[in-house]
Amino acid sequence: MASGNGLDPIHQFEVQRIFPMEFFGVDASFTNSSLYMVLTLILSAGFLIFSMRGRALVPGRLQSVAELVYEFIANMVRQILGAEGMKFFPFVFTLFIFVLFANMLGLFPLPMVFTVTSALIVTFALAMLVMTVVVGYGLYKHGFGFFKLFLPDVPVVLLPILVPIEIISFLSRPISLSLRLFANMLAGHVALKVFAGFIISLGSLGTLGLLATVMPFAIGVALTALEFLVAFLQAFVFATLTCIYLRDAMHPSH
Amino acid sequence: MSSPKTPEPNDNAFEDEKALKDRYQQLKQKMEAANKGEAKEEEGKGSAMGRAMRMGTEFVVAVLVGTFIGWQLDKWLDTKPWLLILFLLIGFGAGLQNVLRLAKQENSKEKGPEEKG
Repeated sequence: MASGNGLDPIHQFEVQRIFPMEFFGVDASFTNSSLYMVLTLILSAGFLIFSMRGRALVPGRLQSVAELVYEFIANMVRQILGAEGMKFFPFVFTLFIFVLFANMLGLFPLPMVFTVTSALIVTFALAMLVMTVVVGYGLYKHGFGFFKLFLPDVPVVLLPILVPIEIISFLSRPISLSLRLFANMLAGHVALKVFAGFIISLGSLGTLGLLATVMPFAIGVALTALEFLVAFLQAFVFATLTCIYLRDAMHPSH
Repeated sequence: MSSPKTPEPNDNAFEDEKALKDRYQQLKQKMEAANKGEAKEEEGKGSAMGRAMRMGTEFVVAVLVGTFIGWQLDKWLDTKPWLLILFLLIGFGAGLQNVLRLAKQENSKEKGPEEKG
């Protein structure tokens, strides 16, 4: 998690322009964030294509990893959405792989590494994509019947109170979906950086300090392991919640 | 003496086999239980914090969204501060609804392991 700027734990989240560009007054520069998005794309697509190139009946190591990931998500989609929901599998799988690779790529201990998913706007864009698909598919499949989603099973008298509640509950989904992924990545990376910073500041305190650096170093190692778990878990949670929201689009009545 | 004795080793062998089978069965059950418990515990450990975080964010976000909508409507309709208050309360309700729904999901997950949601 080293960056060019010493001990500033926030510096790693700065978006920097690599190729400044502007279209009609809109800043569309190619930034380090864009670079890592492209890298994520290349790596994830490359990994899947490369590992499946043999198409062996008895899979090799890489192929079984790819098949494991596929099976994992396919089972999840089938469990939540049923067999008819498998048409959403490519969408969910793409989201999962993208988020997973973006999270993992952010953990590489290189200078200037950037975690795409630690920017709220990126996760929010992903969440809005999910919500667009949910609303779009719901309206396409059920027409106005989709709005039954906002009609809970209660006496009519309670509807004026409960319908706004349902609507706000629905509107809060993309925000909590994006906020969760963003906050997890941000908090983890800041914690890692802070503990790594302790090593440097303790190390400059002489021999005793140098001995004491063992403690933040141990915590840093443990946190790195935890971060790998979180990176995977958050990608999975994102995919699971996407499926749960898609289920609402397929069966809007409660 | 010998005639009643002959079936005994046989019987013993039979008993032994049965005991062995029983013990094997018991061990199998024990191992299954242990595996299950471990898996369950691990799952619980991994996601207990996550679940708590999820419930927290769901609640807070709903309140924030409600408040934001009320605030913007107030600005638009010049009704300060009534819609803000109203939508803050509705957002509170939506947050509770979110948390209750999550809790319901968790309950059904505990009842039936195949129903994950």
